[in-house]
Amino acid sequence: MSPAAVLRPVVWVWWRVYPFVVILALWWFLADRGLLGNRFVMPPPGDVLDRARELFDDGSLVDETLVTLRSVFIAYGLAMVVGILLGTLIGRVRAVRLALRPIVSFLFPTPKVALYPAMTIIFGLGASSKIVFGFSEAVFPILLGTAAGTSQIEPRLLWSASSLGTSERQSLLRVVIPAALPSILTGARIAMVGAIIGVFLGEMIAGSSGLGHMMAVAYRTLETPDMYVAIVTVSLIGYLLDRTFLLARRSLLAWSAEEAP
Amino acid sequence: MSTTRGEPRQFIARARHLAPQVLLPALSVTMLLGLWEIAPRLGWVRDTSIPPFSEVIAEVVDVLGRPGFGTNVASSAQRWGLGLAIATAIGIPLGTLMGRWRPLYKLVDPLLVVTYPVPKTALILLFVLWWEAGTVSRVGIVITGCLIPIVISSYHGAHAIEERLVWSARGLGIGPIRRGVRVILPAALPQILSGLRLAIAISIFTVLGSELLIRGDGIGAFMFTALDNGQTLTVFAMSTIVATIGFLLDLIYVQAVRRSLPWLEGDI
Repeated sequence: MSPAAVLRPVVWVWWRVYPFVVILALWWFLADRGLLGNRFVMPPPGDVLDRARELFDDGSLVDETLVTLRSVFIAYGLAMVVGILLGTLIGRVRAVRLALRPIVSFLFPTPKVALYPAMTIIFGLGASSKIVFGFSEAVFPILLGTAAGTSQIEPRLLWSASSLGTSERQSLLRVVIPAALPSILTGARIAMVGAIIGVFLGEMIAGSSGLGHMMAVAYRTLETPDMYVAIVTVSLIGYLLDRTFLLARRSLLAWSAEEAP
Repeated sequence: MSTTRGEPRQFIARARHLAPQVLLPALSVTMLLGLWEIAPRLGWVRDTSIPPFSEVIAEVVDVLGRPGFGTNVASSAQRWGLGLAIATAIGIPLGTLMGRWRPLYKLVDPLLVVTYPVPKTALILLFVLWWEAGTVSRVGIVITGCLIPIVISSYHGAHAIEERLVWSARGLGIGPIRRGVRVILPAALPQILSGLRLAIAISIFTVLGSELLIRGDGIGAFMFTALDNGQTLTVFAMSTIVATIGFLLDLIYVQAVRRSLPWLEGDI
């Protein structure tokens, strides 16, 4: 093997771990020099890792993570169903598009956090309000991605499908949705992070469990390492879900020219 | 639609085509607001959880007239404007350089990919520990919140421009800095402007979210204090006002871009 062939996997691995190395080195440097404050305000990564291990061993980290993940997946699943259904209707049916346009174009650019207090009153302080927050952040990117994708389908694709005897209902699933998939998945990727942010913030504002609640409580009780454990955990979850999403996207769109992210 | 001959027929056909465009949106909005009005009145939902639309609108007028409202909006707007301006001043040059110089892209992009899913608004709790609850934390969180979309869109814009443009500029003996300002930046502008539109929405979210997590002044704190005090009507009025402000800022931005750069094609 040539030296270049030996080096290639090493280089590949390096670029995967490189951002983590940079962030940890910077974190360690800031904590070591006390540039952002003392050890209490800015504990070094090692202290936070020790604390994370403690919380992992007593089971609380796993429990809080599961609570957050559950809300995120429910919110994201609902947003996918509603976003793709409504988005397809908006993209394909003129009457629906006209009827929903003013409502969607008002709600889409609106910062959803403005609606959090009203939604808290409607849905209460339990898990359902967090799911609604995550849903409200996630549904619009999917809906607009789907509407954009399904409205720009090559008419020739639909003509050929119908001339080959595909019924309109069949061609929806076999032609329209697959052709719109790149655009749907672009929205769905943004929505994934949106769902996590909505749920996490919801737990911070008014929660009784979950990683967001863990962070807010740690701030109030001045257990600073716990704050770092919570935000690092939720960020890692977001990163892993985002990476998984991109992998799934690549295999789903292997046939498409728009496979490149 | 079949083509018809004769003026009246054409008129009817056009009216038939246009009528849904006016009627359907009006109908759906009226139905939604009407439902909001009658559902609490008929007891379908408790009026302590959803007050009728007309009462909310009356409260909106009342809130807009309160002396505290203006000052809170002003302090939020200040943080928002300053944060967005600084993020733009950092993000556009950084992203553009990344688009033109591969090594910088290789170094910065992995960091953006890893920090992209971090819930930035939550970092306000750490910022307050590091820098206290002052301007630095308040503006810093806005910068942190909206920097990534600005950098990424500037990168895509600068990366995708026609190489020939750059070559011709170089051939004409234009130096690298003037080339950046006169050739690369204008060519990347459409992408940068759509990134800024996203950044506006995210920065408003960050301002409000950070104000609600660390109370003090500002519109987010004002809104959530009403929630804590159980003032349902005020909460709904505030949500309506703030949602409308967010919508209007987006609308104004898009219109301003369209007016000042009429040559832009496609969506912003």
